[in-house]
Amino acid sequence: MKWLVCVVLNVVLLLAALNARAELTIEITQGVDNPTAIAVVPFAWQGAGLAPEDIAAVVDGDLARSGQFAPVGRADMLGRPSTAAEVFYRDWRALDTEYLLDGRVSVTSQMRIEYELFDVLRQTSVYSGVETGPVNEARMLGHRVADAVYEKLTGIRGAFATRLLYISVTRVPGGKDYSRLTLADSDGARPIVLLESREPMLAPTWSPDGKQIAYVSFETSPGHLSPGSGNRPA
Amino acid sequence: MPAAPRIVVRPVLATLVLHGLMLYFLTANWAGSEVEVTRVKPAPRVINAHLVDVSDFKPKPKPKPVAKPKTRTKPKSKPRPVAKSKPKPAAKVKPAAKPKPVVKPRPKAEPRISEQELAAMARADLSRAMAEEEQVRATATAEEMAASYAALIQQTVVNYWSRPPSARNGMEALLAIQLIPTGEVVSVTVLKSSGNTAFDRSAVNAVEKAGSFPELQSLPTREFEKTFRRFRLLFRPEDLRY
Repeated sequence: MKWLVCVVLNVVLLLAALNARAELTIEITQGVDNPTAIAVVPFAWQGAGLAPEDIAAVVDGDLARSGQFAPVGRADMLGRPSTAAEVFYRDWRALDTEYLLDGRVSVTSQMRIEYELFDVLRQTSVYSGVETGPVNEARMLGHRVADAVYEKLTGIRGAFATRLLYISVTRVPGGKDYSRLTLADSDGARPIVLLESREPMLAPTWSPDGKQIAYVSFETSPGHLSPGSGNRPA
Repeated sequence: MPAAPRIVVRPVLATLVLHGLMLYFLTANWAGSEVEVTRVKPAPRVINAHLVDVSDFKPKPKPKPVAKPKTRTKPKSKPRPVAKSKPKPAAKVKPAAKPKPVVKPRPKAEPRISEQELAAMARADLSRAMAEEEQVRATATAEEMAASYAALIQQTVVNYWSRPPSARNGMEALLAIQLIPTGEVVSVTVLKSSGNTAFDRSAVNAVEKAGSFPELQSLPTREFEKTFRRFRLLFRPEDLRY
């Protein structure tokens, strides 16, 4: 029965060794929620002449307005990479940037934006994507890029590629006020006046499918719900 | 190994069982995660305070205004070398204590204590007190030391952690951290994801942004190897709005 003793002894020793290898776990329950530093490098324009729209500026503005990001100023950028091979992480780390977004814009029949998001700290590519659309919707494509970046980094769907419906009133002293029903991009750019009236308008809203709009009008009778039409990209 | 009996079956069985057990324990151990004891720190604020009794510097007698700056400047130069290293105070106490018996006979002859003597007394008292304190500190358990360094790491990471808006109270991400003796972080891996990639990434980034904990260089090598060579960070926010 000597072997049995040996076996038992070995098992006991192994168990002891197991217990000795306890690991320290430190619990982090708090944090400081500072906006994330991100560098949006001006997108390279691969076409003749000047780029129709500064897409990177649109993305930059969207991210900054969300309050979750602190974009790096263009004047501080140490390089303007447009492909993964041109990214020198050390340069960006020196700026305390956590993420880097670069891209390329080209136009054939449609505008095509290829973009790539990099994690500067881990020196890897996080996400890359392509947006295509008509040239005159360049800003909307920029908003879509911002949406994708926002969702990737915060875990919440972005709402930059949406539209805004609002009523502005111009006061006319001693006369009737001017009301305007306006449709604009989510950042207030490209406003389109849908309706101008001397009668007050109230509470513009979208139909559930986003294809129509409704507002309270006083033109025919007080407090009349009037449907209009607009369109909102999904 | 057991001495082989005449029958061959038993030792073979024993070896098989032993090796099997060994293999199992080894693999189970390296895969990690079950039998490990975890020490959890809810937010210990460790403050390193040193008590210096000011009354020692100016005892009862009435030193003229001229005497005051003297007594003050002397102790000032004193505590510095003491605070620097542990072995020093022991050596310092002796020379400081020596003058005491030499000077003491005099006060018996004269009721008034001279300024130098007063300063020497104060110095001796102070260095004795400091030596005692030094000893207490040296005997402080290794666990306390590890705890204070753990608190330091915790505080550093907290200062770098910015949570994404999708983070919610109660989410948990467990990271494995590997350090080298200079305090630099050499690897960060996610052991247990919270299920939210943005949250996991924010946790990893907090550690990456901290980059290194140079304070750990002052930790004895044994202690470093035992506790901080590899450890874990559990990210579980409690102060969020949701």
